[in-house]
Amino acid sequence: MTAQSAAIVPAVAHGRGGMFLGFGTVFRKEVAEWVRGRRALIVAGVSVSFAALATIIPFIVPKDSPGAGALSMDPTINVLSGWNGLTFAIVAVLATMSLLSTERDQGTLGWNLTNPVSPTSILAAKWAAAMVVYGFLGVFAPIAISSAMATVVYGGVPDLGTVGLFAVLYLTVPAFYIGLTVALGTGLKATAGIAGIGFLVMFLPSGIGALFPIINEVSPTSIGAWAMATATGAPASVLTLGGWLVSMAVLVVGAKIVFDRLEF
Amino acid sequence: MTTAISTVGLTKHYKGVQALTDLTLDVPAGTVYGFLGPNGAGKTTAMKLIAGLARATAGSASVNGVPVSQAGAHRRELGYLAQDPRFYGWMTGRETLRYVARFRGADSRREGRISRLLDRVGIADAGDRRTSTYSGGMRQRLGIAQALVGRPAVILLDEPVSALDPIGRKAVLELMQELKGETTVFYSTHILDDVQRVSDHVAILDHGRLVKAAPTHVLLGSFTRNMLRVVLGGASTETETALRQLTGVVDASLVSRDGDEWTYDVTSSDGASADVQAAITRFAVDAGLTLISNSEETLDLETVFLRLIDQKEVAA
Repeated sequence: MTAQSAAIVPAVAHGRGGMFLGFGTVFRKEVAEWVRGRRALIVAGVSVSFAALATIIPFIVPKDSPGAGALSMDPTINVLSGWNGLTFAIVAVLATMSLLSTERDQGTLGWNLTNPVSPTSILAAKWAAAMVVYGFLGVFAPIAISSAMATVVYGGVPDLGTVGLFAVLYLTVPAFYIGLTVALGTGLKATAGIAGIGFLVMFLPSGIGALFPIINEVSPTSIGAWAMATATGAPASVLTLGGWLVSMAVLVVGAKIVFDRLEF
Repeated sequence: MTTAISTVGLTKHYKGVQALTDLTLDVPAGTVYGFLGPNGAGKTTAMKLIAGLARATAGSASVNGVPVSQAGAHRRELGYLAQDPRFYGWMTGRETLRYVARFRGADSRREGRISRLLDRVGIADAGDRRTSTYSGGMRQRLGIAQALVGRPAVILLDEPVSALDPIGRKAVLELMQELKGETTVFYSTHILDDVQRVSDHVAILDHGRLVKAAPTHVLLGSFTRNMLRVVLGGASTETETALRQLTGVVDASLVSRDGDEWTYDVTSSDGASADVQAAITRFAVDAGLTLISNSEETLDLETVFLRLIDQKEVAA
């Protein structure tokens, strides 16, 4: 330590701050952490690979194999075909299940809260940064790349209006699952527990929905199917969107209540 | 006197544990304020409550006049070093300081200040290394730098020298002394020697209760007021009685005898210390004794601390 001194004078108050005090700083840090870590690369790698593979399946399946004749060679249908399942939702849960639990383990969550930042900002910034990264690397990039591949492979440009609308509407899926893992992280310390409950939420409604179809209709886990139906002009229930909106509100309020009660 | 930290009846109860009871404390602005207590006394709990990292069961606190709340606005006034500071391992030391500084808004001189702070806490060479490679002592130093980087009005340091080697400890204590007048330093420790060296004020906590809060010199003098330590050569068993009979002396007692040197504690009546000292000098000359020492007794903080804790336990 040297005798050189850094001038320290009382800080000038920068307004009083509010619910989103410190949001921008945490958001930038979160994005940097995604980009500099391996998670972004893994999300991009898995999502692009799966979307590309699903897009070219009709092209690579031998023409004489059973059922090959039923496969469509329409580029739009093939670009969207990979998005019917839960693969991208699973990736969203796996990529974000440790967003809060790791920080709680390492003590950095408490350290963050020694700075001028509100608990709400931390949660909102984590969700927003994950959405931005996942939106680009887990949704837009795979759809863009598979659209380019479909153009080359099937000899026609996919309907960009349909594909573009689907990409935007599909953001509701990571919005829900990332919201779920962040909200669970406020109450659970174990990453495995967060993933377990995340998958339970993902699969349970479809199981119950087999007995009671209305469950499927109002479940936020059906929002991907709703996005597909809306984008392709198929019938889509407004109840699904309503269920998703209610679920998001519950996650936001629940996460805030639990997180505000945490002590470090 | 402006107040940097104010707590009123601050109380914290965890399941089955009363961690802090009715802490009312005013920390004057610009001071180095030592927060003393044995392990488990409630120091860290009090600091976490002031930082807003834990919620008080009762009572309130404010930092630089801003009430402590969940929303975190009071943290604009505050820099905080945890007992075991943790940072993002993927960030360098410099990036860590930049991150903390950004919470306080844009500042064109930020980069220069960050470099100076890294230098000031002695980790300039490691500033561009990831913090995951830092030792405990380096993390502690970075923790002090990040507490200072936002130029807060108050810094809270929870055991700032506990993880440091003697050289690091000396450097941090010197830094704390340099900060006197620039910002208010409120720090906890159980190393009494350090407190005596650097603190203007001391608060002593035990079993979650405030035992004493006072300026350091007042606290050190509180047990030695009107007390003289007298060492006489060639004294005898009658000397003690003779000392008691001097004008202004309330009591005199033999403390120890080392060969020909007899040591006494002499208590004078209020305001009579100087007269009693003069009387003792005359007595020694008249009795043909060698006056080796005749001065006001000074106790170190450790002795005062132990006496205060003992008194409290006896009272309990």
